[in-house]
This record gives sequence, structure tokens and C-alpha cells, in this order.
Amino acid sequence: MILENSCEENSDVDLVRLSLLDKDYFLCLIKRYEKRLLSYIQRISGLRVEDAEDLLQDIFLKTYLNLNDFDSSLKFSSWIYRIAHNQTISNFRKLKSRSEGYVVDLEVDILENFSSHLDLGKEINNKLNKEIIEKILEKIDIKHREVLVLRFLEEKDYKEISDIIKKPMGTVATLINRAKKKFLEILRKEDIKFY
Amino acid sequence: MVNLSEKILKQIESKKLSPKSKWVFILKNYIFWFIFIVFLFLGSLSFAVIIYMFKVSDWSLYLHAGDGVFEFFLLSLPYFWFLFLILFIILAFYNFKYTKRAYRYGGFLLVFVSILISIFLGTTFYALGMGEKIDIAFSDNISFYHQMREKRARMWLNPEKGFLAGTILNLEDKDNFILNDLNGQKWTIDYDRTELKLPFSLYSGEKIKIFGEKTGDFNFKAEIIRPLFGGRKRLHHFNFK
Repeated sequence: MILENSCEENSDVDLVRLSLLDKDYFLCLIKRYEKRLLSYIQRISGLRVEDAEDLLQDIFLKTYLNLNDFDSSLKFSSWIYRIAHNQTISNFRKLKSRSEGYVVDLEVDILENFSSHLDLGKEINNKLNKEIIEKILEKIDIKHREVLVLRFLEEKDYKEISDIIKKPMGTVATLINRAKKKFLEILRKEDIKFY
Repeated sequence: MVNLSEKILKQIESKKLSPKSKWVFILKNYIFWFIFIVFLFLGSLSFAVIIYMFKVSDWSLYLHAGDGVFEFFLLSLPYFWFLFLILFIILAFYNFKYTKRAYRYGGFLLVFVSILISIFLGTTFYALGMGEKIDIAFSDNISFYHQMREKRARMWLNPEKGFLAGTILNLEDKDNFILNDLNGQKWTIDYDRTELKLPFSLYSGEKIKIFGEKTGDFNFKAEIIRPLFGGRKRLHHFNFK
């Protein structure tokens, strides 16, 4: 069994190399990314925790099978997020409707980041507005929602988003701008006030 | 959630899963690159034929006719090869998109670069004579392509407007020869070898097009004579057949 220390000592790239030699090292990568990926899956798909966990299992299995395809010119996080993105979108399209509603886990600091980037101003009140942001994100189509999530909730830069969704950086910038506009349009249209 | 990592490891063990070999991914990427290059190569060959066909259509000659130039232009465009060129560029583009880092470049940039490469390679292939070779090979082996070629040649069969096309039957003397036009009608062609300044010699069996003037029922005065389909190699081929 791999010791906790050896997980922390090694970088992602080292852990990929080690996992190819000994599958137990893959445990370190799972532990390092499971929380982040679970919330990412939920943020773009709105799946319930149990469904998101099932999907996460598939994502890690796919990652393990494709470890030799990891391109070291990318960040490992971009690569595993790409796999998560592809699996989640494909799962989302299969299910189409989300009968359980849209549930995301937004922490206070993330809410602040989100509201400042969308120029929601000082009127934002983090404690009360989590539900409003969720409600608006639910109404945005998945193509635009995923870039908002990656940029403002996952705090990825343009290069990372480009590597995750496999689109040129210029397209990423355009998508983010459009998504911001959509978010603000819905905000105005629904006459939603932040507390 | 707590047991997720263990669950995954157990699955890996029970299903005896192991990472796919590196070669699978390398080979997959190379295959996409290879197919991309093949399509680009085919697109470039199409472009070589387009250049060749523009060159042999002799629009400058047809300008003498005054009217009907636009109609001639529309009829003589190598649509078939334009379609091939577009098709191969699209296929090359879609294939390139599946290579590892293609997503970093915009679609317009990729199409633009594919077109530039096709133009550059196509011009090189044309200079090597491949445009003509492909046109002849298609005409000899594909009947509908042969018909298209004949149809284009028929645009030169309009004696009233000063155009005539056909095969030289025999060179009677240095000022006359008999031409069997594309409808099988025989014409006596008057020409002045020194005045015409032919860049090539005439042979019996050559397919030619003539710009000039109808001087009698089946008499024609030639002012310009050109090979019907371009290349000189083809003309010699006819001569010794």
C-alpha cells in the first residue's frame, strides 16, 4: 500500500509515471482529484451526489486505462478535467433532462469570485445568493454554463479551459463573454435582485 | 465518497484492467496524420489539374469572339476538379481535427493553411506535368469524364463565330491541310505557316483548335492554331498511333 507521504511528495506527472509501474500509485491521483472532480461534475451537470460519484468512478477508470495517452505538454489537471468534461457531457446528453433539479456546491469565496467577474457589484450578498446563481446557471445552456463553471467556479485560466474543452483560446474567450452576457440577461429578464 | 478510491482499485483488480499500450495512442495519432497528408496530397493533385485546365482552355483566344465569352467561361470551368479540391480540403480538415493538438488552432486558420498547402503543392505538381497526366488518365478510363472533355472541346466547334476544332487528316502542302471536325465534317484549312508563327509543327492525327474565318462552305482561314487539349506529348502520341 502506498503511504500518504509518497502521494504528497510526488507531482502529478510523477504519479502518472509511477501508476504505470504500480497501480497503487493511482490511488494518490484519485485522492488528489476526487473532491475537485466531483464538484466539477455536479456544477456542470447538476447530478445528484450518488449519480455524480458513479460517473466519477467511470472517469477514473477511463483515466487509468488511458494513462499512456497523457500528453506531458498539458497540465495533468487539464487532462483529467478533459476526460471528466467529455464523460459528463456525454452522460448529460444521454440523460437529457435532469429531473432532480440543479444542485451545486458554491462556497463563499467562489461566490465572491463569480460575482466580481460578472460585475454583479457590491449588492451581492454571498450567504443569500447561492440559490440565485444556481437558478441562473440552470437556465444557461450547457455549452455556456461549462465555461462559466470552469472560469469562475473552478478558476481555470484560458489556456487550461482551451485544453479541457479542446477549443482554441480565442473561442474560449468568445464563449466566456457570451456566457457572461447570457447570465446577466437572465438576471435582468427575471428581475432577480441580489440581497 | 470515502471508499471511492478503494472501489476503483478493486474494479481495476477484479476486471484485471491495465493501461492501454502507448503504441495504441501513437499509432492512432499517426494514422490521423497520414490520412490528413493523403487528403492534402489528393487536393493538391486536383489543384494541379485545375491549373492545367485553365491553361489549356485558352480564354485569351476565345476573347476574339467578342460575345459569348461569359458563357464560354462558365462552360469551361473545371467544376469536377473544384468539387474534388473542396471535398479533399474538407476531409483533410476534419481529419486534422482528430490529431492531438489540432484544437489549439481555429477552424478558419486550418482551412486557410490547407488551401495554401494545396496551392503550393498543386502548382509544383502542375509544373511536373501531373495535371495533364491526370486529365488524360481520367479521360481514357472514365467514360463520363471523357464525355465532359469532349463537350468542352465542342465549344470550339462554331465556324460561324470563327472557331473550329478537330483532327488533322493530312497536310496537303505547306499552306493547306484537311481537318476532320468534331462532327466528322471535312474542312480545307488555309494557313500561312510564317504568319501563324506556330510554336510547334503540325502532324496528321493531331487534335487541334483553330481561330480564324470561314471563307467558304467547308473552307476556313486559320489565324491561330493551338493543340485541342494542350500538351505536346499527347500530340506526338497521336502522330505515331
